Amino acid sequence: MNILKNKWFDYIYIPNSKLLIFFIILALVSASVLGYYTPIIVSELYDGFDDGDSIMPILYALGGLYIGEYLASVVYQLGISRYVQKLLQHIRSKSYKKWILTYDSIGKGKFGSHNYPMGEVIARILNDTEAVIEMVSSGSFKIFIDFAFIISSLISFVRLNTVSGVALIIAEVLVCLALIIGSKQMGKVYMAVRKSTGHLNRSVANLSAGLRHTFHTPNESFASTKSKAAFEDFLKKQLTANIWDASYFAIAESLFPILLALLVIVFPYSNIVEMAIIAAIIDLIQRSITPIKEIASKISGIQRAKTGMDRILEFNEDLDTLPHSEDGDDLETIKDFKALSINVESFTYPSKGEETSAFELKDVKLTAKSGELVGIVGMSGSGKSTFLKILSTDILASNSLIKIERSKHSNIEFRGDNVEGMSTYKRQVSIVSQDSHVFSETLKFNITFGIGSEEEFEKFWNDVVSRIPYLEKWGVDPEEIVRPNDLSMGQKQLISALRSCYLKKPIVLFDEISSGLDSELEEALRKLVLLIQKNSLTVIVAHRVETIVNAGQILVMKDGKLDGVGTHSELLNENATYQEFISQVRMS
Amino acid sequence: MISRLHRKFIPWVVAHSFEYWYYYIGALFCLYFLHHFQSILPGLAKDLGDKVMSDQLKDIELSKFFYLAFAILFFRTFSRLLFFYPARVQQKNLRLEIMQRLENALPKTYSNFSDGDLFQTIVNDFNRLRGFIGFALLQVGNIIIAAIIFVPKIKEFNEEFLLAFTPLVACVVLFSILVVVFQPFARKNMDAYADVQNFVIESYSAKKTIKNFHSEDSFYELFRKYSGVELRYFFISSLGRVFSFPLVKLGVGASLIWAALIVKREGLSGTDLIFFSGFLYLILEPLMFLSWIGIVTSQGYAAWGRIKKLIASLETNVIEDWYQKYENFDKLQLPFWNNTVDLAIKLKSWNVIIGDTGSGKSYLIDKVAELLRYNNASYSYIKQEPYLYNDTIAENIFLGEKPEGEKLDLAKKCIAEFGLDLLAPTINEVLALEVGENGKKVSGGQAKRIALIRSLVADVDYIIWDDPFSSVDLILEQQIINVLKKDQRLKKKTFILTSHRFSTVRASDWIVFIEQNEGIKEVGPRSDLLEKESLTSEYFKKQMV
Repeated sequence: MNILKNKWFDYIYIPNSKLLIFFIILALVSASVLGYYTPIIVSELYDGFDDGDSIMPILYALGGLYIGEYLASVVYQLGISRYVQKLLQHIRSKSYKKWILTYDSIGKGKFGSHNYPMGEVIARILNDTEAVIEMVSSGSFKIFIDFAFIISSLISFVRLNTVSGVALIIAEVLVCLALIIGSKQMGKVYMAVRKSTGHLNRSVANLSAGLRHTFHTPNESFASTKSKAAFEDFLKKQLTANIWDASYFAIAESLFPILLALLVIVFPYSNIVEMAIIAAIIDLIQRSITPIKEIASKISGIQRAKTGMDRILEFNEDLDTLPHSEDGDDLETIKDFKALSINVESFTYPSKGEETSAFELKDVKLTAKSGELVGIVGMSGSGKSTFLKILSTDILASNSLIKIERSKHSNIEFRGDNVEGMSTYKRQVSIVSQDSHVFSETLKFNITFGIGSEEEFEKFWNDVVSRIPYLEKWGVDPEEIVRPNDLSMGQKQLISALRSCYLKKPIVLFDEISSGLDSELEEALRKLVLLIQKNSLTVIVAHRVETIVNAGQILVMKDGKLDGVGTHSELLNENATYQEFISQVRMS
Repeated sequence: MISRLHRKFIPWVVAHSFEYWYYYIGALFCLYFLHHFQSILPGLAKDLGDKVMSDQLKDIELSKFFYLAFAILFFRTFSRLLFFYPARVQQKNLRLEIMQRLENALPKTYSNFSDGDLFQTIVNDFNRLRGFIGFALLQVGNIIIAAIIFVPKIKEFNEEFLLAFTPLVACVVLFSILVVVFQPFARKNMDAYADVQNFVIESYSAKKTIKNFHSEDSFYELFRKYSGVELRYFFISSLGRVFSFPLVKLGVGASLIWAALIVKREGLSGTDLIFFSGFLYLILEPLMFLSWIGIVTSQGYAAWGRIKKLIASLETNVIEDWYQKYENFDKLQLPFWNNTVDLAIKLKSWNVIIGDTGSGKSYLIDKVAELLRYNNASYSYIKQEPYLYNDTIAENIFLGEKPEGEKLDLAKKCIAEFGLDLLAPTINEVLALEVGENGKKVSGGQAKRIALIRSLVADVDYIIWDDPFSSVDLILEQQIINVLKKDQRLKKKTFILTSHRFSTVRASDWIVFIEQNEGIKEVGPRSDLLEKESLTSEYFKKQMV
């Protein structure tokens, strides 16, 4: 419990915010003091009507009270807004960092943050913090300062007239409790609306995106029939919620006559003879009704925010238990990489439930030196992509061993079942594939990822532009923002290949795209492969003969096994699978 | 289908009010009675004070308070419900109408609207519209009726008291102005939020890439930047609330002081001030919504504008000059770049259109589909990157039709032969498999093959496929073509495909070779074009070098 509390503190307290907290507390204290004097001054005002004295001093005091209340409110809200702004930046950044540092690898057991698919990550990092923002925008935080004011007013009134004061306190506490309990019931109704809204949003997004595609196929009004169901469900849930909602607020609205009735009931016992006391208590009732009316909705806002914070905390704690890379630069790229060897004894995909996967990768080996070009060929389902994924550690195969030979240091071994160790290996590899991501940032950022100096990039860029005429023809400016949707698959691959070339990883894995490249782009990519090859061991899953004709070795894969290894001419003579591959590729 | 979306904004609001007039009449009655009963309260409070002073408390009827509380409860609830209900039902009707209109409109009429735009309109714009008719109308009625009932009562009591409301009204107006002024920042805050969200989405899809290059720090910094911008806008937009919300209490205070001065000057009783303050709090509720009425109305109006823009583009004239009615579809005249071409089609056979990337194959085949649509021909057209609904494979194939009989058999056979049987242990399980958002759970190639099956089981004469086998390897392609060629049910159909692969071309009956400048370069049966000296065979020979 204590540990959890400390953790909470860690998340809610932000360093260097003492001054801010001081102002917030100051505002709360001021509101309480002002609240305390309010009934006293109000009763003095009503007293003042009866005698002949001027009421101006009292009115000045009353005016000062109102202005003071305004100022306290402003300072409080300002402090809260600022604090929330800082706090959210703090929490979000912390969560983002933790999440980005964890690994997403497939393997035995609980590896990586796969429990958190995309929607979940957005929900945890953003939507959950949103509840806190909503607390500010809906004025939930206001409830604290309002209650500080009202409570001290009530206490002060008790000193003016004990019986009616206490009766009012009891009644208001009961009303608050009743409203909170009522709102708990409403919570379920609202939850149903939220669910239905989510369903409606998903349905509309899903169906409207498909309209253009299914228009040209007979479709039995698929989209409108499906969406109608979602619209109707939402309508039903929303109408139910409206009934609750409308009657809930109506109850709050009818509080005034009920509290007045309470006054009438307790009068005989309260010894009130002065009109001033009556006026003060009516004033107090009127002031307290609004905060009481709001209490339930504000409390549910606070609860939502707390649930949000709990979820973030849980997310953070969970991420801490997952394998993650170190936060720092202690794991450098190996500078003296000489050769790589990998041996995958066997690998099958983890089965889901009853399903068993028939596919198995067995006894696939590769040994290659820096500067070498290795080709991998095979038909769909031969296991070439799986092998590439193991090489890139997207999959951790426990029965596998990777060795890296170095010229100046002793060799390093990486076992597939050692997740932490693998992160060092992972850092030596870069991948150029269809999945390689291009960001909506500048081209420069997409190539450098913020690594290296301005000069380094400039030198690199001038060098590649002079070697690859396509870049000039394409006319891209490195400082320009890239729009991933406007890029062809080939251009995306070119950008990620440029990235690999710039960052000079010892091992570069290349998943060639099978079609849709125009000849200039194809030439540009081939030139880049040659550039990359100079510094690295390059492994290519190839779809075109030209790419691998000059490869030092080609692995031919079939049914999860190695069917042959050799150069193009060797394999062309003796390997039937390779011959078939070549004849098919030639024909297309 | 009743059309509600063809009107302008004001006529639409009027038509809506007439459509549900009995609700609104009822709602106005409820509002009237609500304010009527509420307006009794200040007098009652004053009475309480007077009776205390004259020691006549026994004369007060306690039950009156409870009757009033009940009346307020009843009329307030129903005034709200009667406003909310028509707005909600209308929202549903309008959403359904736009969905149906979209469904029946040629996709090119709304090509300017992205999927995101459509979502925004159907979900958010119709919600804003609902906000306007459900909320703004209610609050306008609320203020007007409150004024009609309260003002004469206060005037009757003491005319000068009306003036004392000035500070409150001034503060509420100032409050409304502040809220409106800061509103654009809320908008910017939302946009910035979308940017942060987008950044997280990108980081997610690119996490592997980020980790491979050990660039976590750069992305962390970038995240802080995006998140920081959003939170800054959040802070600025909250300033409006920070300064404006407490203004209302200040206004109440100032009005009360003003009224106290009147009471003292005119020598009235203190209980008259109680009476005044009763009305002060009563009028507060309707007044507080003043700013929201403005915001919600302008949002509703803007939403209607966007909806009308979409409707207008759906209603644009789609009949183009080159559209013609055909008896037979064996020779089609189609636009091509700046020219027209005569496309010869061999019916009940496999036609393939070939040409370089960018020569206009997709464009041409799109026009074929459009023309068939214009002629009410039965056809199915699958684009290069088809879309899968977030549903089961069966739903995606049958699109709401019941999967049964011969069609189901065909679908099952195709699943087995198209290499989709790997997705689950049995074919039935494949059919029941959920494909996820836009087919996320299957690969792009698998999604495409599912879409191809969709068009095969549809009962159509013409099947149009844009580059159907691009993501299928050569062996599987051969297998698919063999199945399709052998199946009796498919023999009577006319296939029109585009391709740049020799393997596809080799399997077709009729070849059309196009080129950007020359239009149709060569056309004829496969036997002529591939086996003899021809531009087509030349083209493929060149490709193979």
